[in-house]
Amino acid sequence: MRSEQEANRAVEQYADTVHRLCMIHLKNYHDAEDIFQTVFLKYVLSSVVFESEEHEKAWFIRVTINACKDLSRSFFRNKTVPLDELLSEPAKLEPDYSMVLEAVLSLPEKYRDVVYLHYYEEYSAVEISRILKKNVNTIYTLLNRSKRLLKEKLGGDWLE
Amino acid sequence: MNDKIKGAFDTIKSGDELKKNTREFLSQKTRGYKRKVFFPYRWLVVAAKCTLFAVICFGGYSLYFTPVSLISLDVNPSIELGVNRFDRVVSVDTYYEGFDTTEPSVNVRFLNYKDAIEQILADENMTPYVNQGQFMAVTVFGSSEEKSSEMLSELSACTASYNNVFCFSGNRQEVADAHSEGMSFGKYRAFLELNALDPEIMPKDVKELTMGQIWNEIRMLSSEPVWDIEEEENLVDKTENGESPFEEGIKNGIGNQGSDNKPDESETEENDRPDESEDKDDSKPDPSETEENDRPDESEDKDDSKPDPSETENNDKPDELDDNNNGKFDETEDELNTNSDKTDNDESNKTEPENNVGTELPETGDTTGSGNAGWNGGGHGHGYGHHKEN
Repeated sequence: MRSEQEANRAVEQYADTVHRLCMIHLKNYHDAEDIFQTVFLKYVLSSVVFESEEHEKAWFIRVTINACKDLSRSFFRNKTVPLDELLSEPAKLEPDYSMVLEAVLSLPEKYRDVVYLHYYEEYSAVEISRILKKNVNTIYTLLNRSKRLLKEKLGGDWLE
Repeated sequence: MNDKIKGAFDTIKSGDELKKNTREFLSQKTRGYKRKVFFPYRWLVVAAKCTLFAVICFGGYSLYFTPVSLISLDVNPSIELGVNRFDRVVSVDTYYEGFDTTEPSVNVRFLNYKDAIEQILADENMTPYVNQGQFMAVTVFGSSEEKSSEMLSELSACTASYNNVFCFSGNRQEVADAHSEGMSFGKYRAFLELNALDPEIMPKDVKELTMGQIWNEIRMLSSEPVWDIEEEENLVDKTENGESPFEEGIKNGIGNQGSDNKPDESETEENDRPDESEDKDDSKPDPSETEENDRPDESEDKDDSKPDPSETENNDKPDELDDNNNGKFDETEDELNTNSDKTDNDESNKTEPENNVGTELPETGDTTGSGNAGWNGGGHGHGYGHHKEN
């Protein structure tokens, strides 16, 4: 089991990443909070030795996505809160960002992870394939399709 | 595009309150970062479930597959059926020493023991033994005295249609001794009978004999009449005390015939079908039957002045003795005393030869020895009683 100092450091360092992934998948603040805490509890109880910070970050991303998927599959999971609730959480969104976020969150689930990891975390397709344990070509396909879908939603000029 | 998406995701941040709640949550769940809570408990539950499952499986297996009763079917060779507490056959052991291996072709495992015996007796491999009239002993050892008598009763009913199948019961010590000698339970019982008559005979001497041969030996050795006056008086005394000679026989471990459970059947068979009984005399020489058929009327049985060969009646109708106890048995005593005269004077010349033929044991050559009642009436006689001979 990890120490309190390690736990606090991890919370400070990866809280935003974990929280964003939770919100992308769950669209519900309360569920996101539960998963957020569960992920850090797993970290504290885990005995995994990380080779580097990148390794540690990838571990958090992987564990968070899995935890979100587990909750999504759960029979007792509460009904998903409408997208509006999520968009209202970060109260002061600029109109452009709100539109982009709404477009990203309206994508099918399999595209959202790829878009987030590629455009925000700036992982390459190869790195994403390792994290998500998918074929690299699959990641390329998902990226192209998600780009096309966003273009349809946001308009052709948006890609420039 | 990257900037816009990045900017949009940047707006999603975990608040300080969420971080604070998470720290408290972690501290609470780990009890101040001192010990694990979830996983040991989870593994403990899993281990407990696995243990419980294993115990249930092992217990169920032991409960079902442990034989608590034993049925020994002895002819040539011998078959022992282990019966579990649910009356199912769970083991079949055969004793083939010195014999051509003749084994029932049917698989009787997991059958009810009554069905198993019925199927074995009806099996084509066993048919020669059954039809040739070889002596077949079905010996029962139950987990309790009550169970033994219940099984004996059931098996007597099952084998009632066979003239040469006889049912006995035994005890635990005899079963253990029989197995230690490498013999089936039923054959060991027969050996004990033989050994009582000739102490020099050892188990190895009878191992290779068929049951019929052993009983022939017994008949040959037991030449002196057993039903003498003194014994009859003893029996009467015991009967007056509420103990039938059959009970006495069982207690002594001499033998327990199925007739206890079906006295009426034999009586009815003999009384209602005298012609048939006479016919059977050729194949089943039973002096008692012959004598009984000669009885003019049942009402005459109650007449003390009229002699009646009721010795056999004693053997064949134990319940009647038990039920009627004193009076009936006294009559029987009188009848026994007069029976010999009648037999000698009237029909002894006829009955004796028939008896010899009916035993179907020509190799013994014993026509005067006291016949073992086990050969009488298809298992409806006293197990080890002897006919009175004059």
